Amino acid sequence: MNKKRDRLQVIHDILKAIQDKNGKIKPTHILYKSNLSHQMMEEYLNELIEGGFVIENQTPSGKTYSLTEKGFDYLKQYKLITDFVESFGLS
Amino acid sequence: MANIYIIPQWFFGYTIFLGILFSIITLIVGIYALKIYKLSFQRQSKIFGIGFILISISYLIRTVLTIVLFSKIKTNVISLSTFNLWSIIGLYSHSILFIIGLLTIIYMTTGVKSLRLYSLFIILLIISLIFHPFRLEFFELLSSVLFLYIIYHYLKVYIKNRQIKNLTILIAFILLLLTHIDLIFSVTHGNYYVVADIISLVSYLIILINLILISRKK
Repeated sequence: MNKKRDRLQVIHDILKAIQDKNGKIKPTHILYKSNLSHQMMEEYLNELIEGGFVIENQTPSGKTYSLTEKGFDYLKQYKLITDFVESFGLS
Repeated sequence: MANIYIIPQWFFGYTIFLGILFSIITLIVGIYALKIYKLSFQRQSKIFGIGFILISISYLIRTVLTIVLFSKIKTNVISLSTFNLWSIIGLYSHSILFIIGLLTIIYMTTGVKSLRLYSLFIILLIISLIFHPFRLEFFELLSSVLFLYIIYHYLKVYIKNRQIKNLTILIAFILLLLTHIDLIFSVTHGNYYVVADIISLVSYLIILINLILISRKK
């Protein structure tokens, strides 16, 4: 599996973890589900927030994350994205 | 010094049609790549999309130019060196956009993130294209070299994945390379131009079919 495929897969895993928790996932759960280092997870989450895929919510019990419409779209279209990227060697 | 393509008169209608077709196919691929970028913000998809859109505009300019010339010249062959200023501008625009399009695709394949380096290559290529005495042969030779680099990338992708979809894209780019090698000789005989357009048609249809197969799996 190549580097970009990994990146797309990691993003998929993070978004899927958030979706599976009905939009109330804590960073520790994401860390567990995505199998990343804390620093890497922070980088991915920041990237996903900046890209408009994820929203960070401040609650009394700490931070939680939820998906935006764009985040749901990514999960829906994931197969299409990876097929295109693989076919046209965009990695 | 050759600044002319020789196009058989009987082929004018076909080359106009094919030019439009190439422009549409490359535009579809470019837009699709940008759609993938919008979904995934994967940088490579954006660069690839921009590259194909530039190539699409390049084909569009070539087609408009051919239509204009077709309406003006009623001889067996066309000599591009006799065209007016606008035609020359059109010809340069076609060449430059095509070369930038290919360079953009190569930029995507390298994974390098340096706009300075990318712009330097573009400027150098544009200058050499404008001032080279054998403009047409040089353009085709340059395109061939750039296609070689693209093929090298797709060969690596195929060797790594061993998938039919990667092989078809590799074949498409090899055919496009052959097209531009063939076009180097189009300054001597019109048949080379005809062969080049036919090979290009096969290449772009392969790319289109690949894209259709991807989108149908959705």
